[in-house]
Amino acid sequence: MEDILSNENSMLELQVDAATADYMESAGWWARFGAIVCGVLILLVVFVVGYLFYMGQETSMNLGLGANNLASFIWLAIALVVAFCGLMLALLVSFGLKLKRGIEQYDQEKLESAFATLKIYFIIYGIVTIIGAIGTLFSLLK
Amino acid sequence: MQNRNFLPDLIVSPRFKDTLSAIVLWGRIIAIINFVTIPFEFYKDIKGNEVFMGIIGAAATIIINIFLIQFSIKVKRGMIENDQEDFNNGMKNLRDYFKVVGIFIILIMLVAVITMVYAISISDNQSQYPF
Repeated sequence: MEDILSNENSMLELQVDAATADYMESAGWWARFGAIVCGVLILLVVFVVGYLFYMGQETSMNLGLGANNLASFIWLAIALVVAFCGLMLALLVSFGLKLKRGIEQYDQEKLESAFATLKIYFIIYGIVTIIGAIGTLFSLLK
Repeated sequence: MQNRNFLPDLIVSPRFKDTLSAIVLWGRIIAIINFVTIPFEFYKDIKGNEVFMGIIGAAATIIINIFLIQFSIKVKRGMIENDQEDFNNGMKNLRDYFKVVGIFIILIMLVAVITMVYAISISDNQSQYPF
């Protein structure tokens, strides 16, 4: 009886079939890949900005134009942006890894956990998008 | 080698559906906001004499967000109507969304590396000959 009921339930539920699993696994792979490449890109940008900033600071010190407050502010802003990007990229990598393990091991918990991670990523991304859109509108009103 | 034609233990449970519903909702919000802000961003780029960058940015935003909104629509429809095909197509759109984002990131990285090499070479020249 229980078997019949569970079969009826599974007929009513959407399945993660072979095609869905392939699409999900591929999505996870691309999410991880994009996150890692983006991480490398951010590190490169920080390195170059730091290098150029160091060179510029050396020149301004030679000219007697010390700007320590501005430098601290810029470094703080860069650190905040890098920390935020790091969080977003970590969420994407975590999504990709959990999804891969969930599908390979047929583990429902890991699969759901992967999409829960993606949910957090989309919520944060959505809030940032809303803030960015408001910023764009305000910048046009000026 | 695992048999991928039948994955007996993986289903879209009610809890999984709740998570997917939230993803679908936020995906739709993100896509709509991005579509709405395209003209404003483009106008800003034109004002800043960056028409080429504006066109590329608008095209990239449209392509990426088409996949995101299609993912939202199809997965939502699949969950409401219990339609496996719509659900699968939605997941295919999620894959395409991440794939396109990944390809754009690679392109941005290539441009960034070229720009950085150029910037460093200029900076080195200036530090060698400051005046």
